[in-house]
This record gives sequence, C-alpha cells and structure tokens, in this order.
Amino acid sequence: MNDDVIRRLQDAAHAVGETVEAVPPFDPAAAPARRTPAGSRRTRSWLIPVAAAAAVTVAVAGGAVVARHGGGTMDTAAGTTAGPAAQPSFLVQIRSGDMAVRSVADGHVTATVPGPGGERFTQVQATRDNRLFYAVTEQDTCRSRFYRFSLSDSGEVASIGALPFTPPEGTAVTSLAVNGDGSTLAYGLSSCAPGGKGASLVVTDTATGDSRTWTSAHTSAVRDVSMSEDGRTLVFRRAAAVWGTSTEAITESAVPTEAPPKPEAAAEPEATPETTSGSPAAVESALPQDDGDVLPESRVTPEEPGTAPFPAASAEPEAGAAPREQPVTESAEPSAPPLPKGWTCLIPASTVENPTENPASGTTPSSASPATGVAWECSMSRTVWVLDTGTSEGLDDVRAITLGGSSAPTTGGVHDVALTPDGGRVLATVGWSRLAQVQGVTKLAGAVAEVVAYDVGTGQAVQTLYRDEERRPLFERVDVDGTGRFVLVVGPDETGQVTESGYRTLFTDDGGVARTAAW
Amino acid sequence: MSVPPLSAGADDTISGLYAEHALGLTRLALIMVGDRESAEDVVQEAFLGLHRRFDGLRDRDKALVYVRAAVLNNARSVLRRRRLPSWFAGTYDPPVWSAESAAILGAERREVMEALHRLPPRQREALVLRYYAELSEEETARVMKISRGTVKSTTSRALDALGRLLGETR
Repeated sequence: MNDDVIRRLQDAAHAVGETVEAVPPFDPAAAPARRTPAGSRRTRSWLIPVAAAAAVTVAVAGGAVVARHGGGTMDTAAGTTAGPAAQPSFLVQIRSGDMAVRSVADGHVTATVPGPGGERFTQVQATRDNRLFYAVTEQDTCRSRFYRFSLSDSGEVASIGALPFTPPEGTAVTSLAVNGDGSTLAYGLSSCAPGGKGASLVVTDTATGDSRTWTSAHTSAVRDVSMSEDGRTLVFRRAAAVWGTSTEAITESAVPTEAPPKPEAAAEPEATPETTSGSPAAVESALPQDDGDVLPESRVTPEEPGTAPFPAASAEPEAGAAPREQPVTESAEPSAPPLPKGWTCLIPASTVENPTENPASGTTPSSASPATGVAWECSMSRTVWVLDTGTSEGLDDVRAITLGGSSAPTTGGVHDVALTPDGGRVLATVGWSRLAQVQGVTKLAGAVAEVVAYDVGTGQAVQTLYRDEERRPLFERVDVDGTGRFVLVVGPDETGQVTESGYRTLFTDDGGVARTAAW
Repeated sequence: MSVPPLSAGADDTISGLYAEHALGLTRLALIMVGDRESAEDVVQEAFLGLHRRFDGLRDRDKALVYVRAAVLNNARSVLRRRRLPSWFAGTYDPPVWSAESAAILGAERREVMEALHRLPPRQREALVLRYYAELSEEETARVMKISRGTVKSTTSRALDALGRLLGETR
C-alpha cells in the first residue's frame, strides 16, 4: 500500500518540480534580501527582525490565540449558547491553517485568527445565529483541540478560547459539525497510529464534555459530517475525500480521434463500459478487498434502475496495480487508474505530455519520445450515511442513501454534503469537469457544477438549486446557514452563495491550501 | 555584503556545484516552500553560505551535503516565517499547486502536495529526500543530520501518515 503512496508522491513532486526549467545564475555579491526580480509584484520582507519574530513566537505559543482586530481574550464563558437563527452576515474561512472572518456583504476581512502555536485550524462550523462558531486545530503530533469563538456585530472576534476537553491524543479529527444552539458537537475521528484501524463518530456536549461514540471496524474516515439543528440527525460520508485527475500512458494510436464527448453524453444511463475508445464510458474501480478493511458498499441502498449515471462496470482487474505513468506500450485501450473503491471514472478523450527526466539531478536526459497520456476525471462516491442519534447503535449499522435522480443526468461526483437545519434535506455540490492537456496547454473539455437538494429519506433529488455548465473549477465545499435558506459554496478560487435568487460571488481568492468555510 | 576572498579554485568548484545541482535543488525547494521566488532565494542563500565557509568544506561531497542541508533549513525558515502574522512574514505567491496551477498539475497532485505539507517538517523532508531527490538512506541521514535508523523510521511513519491523509481505505 505504501508503494501507491510513494508513486503518487513522486508523481506530484515531479510535476511540481518540473514547473522550474531554469535557475538564475549564482551571484555571490547579491544577498537574497536585495535580489528583486524585475516585474515582481510583491514587496516581501525577506529578513525579519529576529527579536520581533521571537516575541511573536512566544506570544502565540502554548495554545493562546491571538486574534487580530478582535481583542482576542481567552474568555470561554462568554457567549456559549447561540441565539436564534439569523441570516448570515459573516463567514469564517480557513486557509492554510489560519482563520479569516469575512463580511458577506462585501467580502472584506473583518478579523483574522492565525493558528495558535504549532496548531493549524482545519475545520470550522457555525451555529444558527452566525455569531457563535466552533473550530478544530491539529498539531504535527496529531493532537487536536476544539476552539469556540464568538463574533461581534461588526465581525470582530469578541471572545475565543479552547474547550476544556480534547479528542484522544493520536487521533485526527476528520470532520466537524455543530447543532443549532452550539450545545453539541459531532466529529469524525481516525487513528493517527501507523496501521491504526477503526474510525469513529463522536457526539459531545460542549458544556460538560460528555460524549457518545459510534465506532466502526472499517478505516474509512468519517468525512463531511453535518448535523440537524436539534442534533438528532447526522449525515456524513466515508469515502476517501480526494477528487482527482490521474494520468495513464497510452499509445498515440489509442488516443481518441473524435471530439470530446459532451458532458451530458458521458453520463447517460445507457452508456456502457464496453464502448470503443473515444466514446464516453464509465468504469468503477474494483480494488481487491483482501484485508477486510474496505467499507462494504454493498450496504448502499439499491438504486432504482435507470437512475444511475454510471452503470457498474467491469473494471480491469489490474486496476489496483497499474502504474500511473507507465512506459508507452502497444496496449490500445486505456485501463482504469488505481482508485479506492467507490470512485467512478469517466474514460477521457484528451492527451497529456509526460516529459521524462530526473529533476533531482538537474540533468535532462535526451528524452526520446514523450509519453502521451490520458487525463482521467474521477469523482467520489454518491453514498451518504444517515445516523439517527436516537436509534443508531454502531457506525456500521447506519442507514445509507445514494444520492441520485437529479433532474440533470450529469451527477457525476459528489464533492461535499450538508444537512439542512430541519434534517430533511441533504444539500450537495455535485458535478465534474474534464481537462484536456495537449503539449502543456490545458483546456477545459467540459464541466457541470450543481447544487442539489436531496431527500434525506430516499436520497432522491428534490430540487436543483443551482446549475452551471461553464464553471471551472467546481465547488469543493458546501454549508447551509441556520435559517436553511442561504447556501455557501466554496471553490478553489471563489466563494459564493446560492439563494432563491441564484448564485452570487462573495469574493474571489488567491488560492490558499486546504480551504474551507462556514456560516 | 562583503564577500570573503576565496582561495584559487574555490569559485570554480562552487560554480560547478551550482551548475550541476542548482536546478534540482531549486525544484526540491519549490516542493518545500511552494513558490518559485522563495525557492530560488532559498537555493541562492544556501550557496552563499557555502561560499562563505568553503574553506572548511573543500571536499566536494561535504559541500554538497552542506548545500542540501542548508536548502532544507532555509526552506524551513521560510515556512516558519509564514506562520507569523503577515506583517512579519510579508507576502508571497500562493503555492504552485494551488488553484491557479491546479489545471496544470491536476487536482490529485494538488491533494498530494497539500497532504505532504500537513506532515511534520522532518517527515516531509525525509520523504522528499528519499523519494523525490532519490537519495539513499545514508545520504538522507547525512543531510538531515540524523541516524540512518531514524531516517528509516521517520520515512515509514511519514508514508503511513501521508497515506492516511490521502484517505487510503486499504
């Protein structure tokens, strides 16, 4: 299993490294501090005063949180219960481990909260009043901590403090949800230990720390957890939360010559897995389940015939072992890339140049003929698990629904889900995109993004709140406010809201890593 | 800044090392810090350091170990600085694996890079030295100034952690 991780790491690192093709000459007379490249749009202080830096390090050490523009007291007593549900005035965004509070009206940042000490904020959730929030931090040593903070009416941080209880050391919080008044947290836990098994979902009383835990024999992390206002119903997902493109080498002759299929065509129910190269088709990964750790997707509620955008297909048995970039062979048909169970891949129609060289050595061997690859677009499972805190016993006994029956047949992948406050609807960001990359130039070959409401009982779509066939990249995160009327969507470069009157961009981003947001 | 005089041949050696390794080291630094300008600065600074103390590092192998270690140290400083409030850290370009570049790198690679950067620094460095720069355990140990056994255990833990972050279900 580590071989696959190594291969993915090497693939990603080489791709990043290859974005640098040349370096400036070495100039011993020029210190980096004074090297200002022509056209640089930045003013960067390379060398910071050592004393000042040390002072700041001390100030943020030991779990203390310093909120800029916000007072930043450690008062945990103030504002521990949320008021009535209110239309969101602010959203809290996490980018690269820090939090930023932004005004919904104009997107401007009203406060920032850097990750305290060695901690990084990883999750944030809002209660119904849009003033009381909860967040989770993670440390390098796999220690997590919960924080509660409240916002003033001007969007400043009025109070912030760590909760007196923490998840067990050696576990990672994989997702976070809060009920309406902020009295209950729900979070997924996974073991950090090498080879650690078992995932769990914990519901904790924020006042007392009293917890109830649902455990699973399977390692699939509890992700995208969301809770109804009354705290009784939880939805979550257990698929690997990776939305990705993988590349597989094929021969020139195998590159489809037809135009890329239309997005709609790719997801027609009648699409068959045995179509010829260049035609739309879908395959589902079928990795061997030899260690019994893979979540049995057979528990999934059977779909109605004809509603499945992707028919269960006969994936090649070699899928689990196929290298991402293999030498060009005479093989004509691209086979499925290795994927965790539950993923779906569209067979693509684009080519990718894969220059081969060893970036670490700095040398460029005479590349013979660059491999021609195919970009795959793959998406996550459409299975959502619904837990009733009153009746559900173990995490593996939880009811599963499969999101389907969307008005549009293009429900390719589900990116994120959120439960409405009344617990009646699952809102999901769904869709897919295909990129064609030819000779280093990337072009969009098709994309559909939707925000769809599904019935929590049946998993069937009841309303398409928003549909966009132009958008790229897709929405990655979704959240719904305490009134259930305002839907927050987060994409890689843009955050927006979906309401009855349509979509509105709240602000565009410069692209931090690991972004998420809540209101 | 003042550049100390060097004995004859030193400049040639440094120039040779730079010509041979600067590109690879810049790529390695880019993987560590995310943006190209910082990566170039990290490497320039490492070679500057070599330039300053070359008399103690006449051995070419030792010099290479020094430069590699300096690149890692400088990259770590850059990352540490970014954790400070922005008026100290200054501004910098978003990582090349962020949204703007995702179309080129692919979302999955972006995911891998983001996961790599959630690892503790030592684990990240061990992985990059071993599997990207393709250094042996011995070479990695010298660069990181730790024992070979620690390289082994750190790498193993790092792979497990990375696999977990990438949501391996197997």
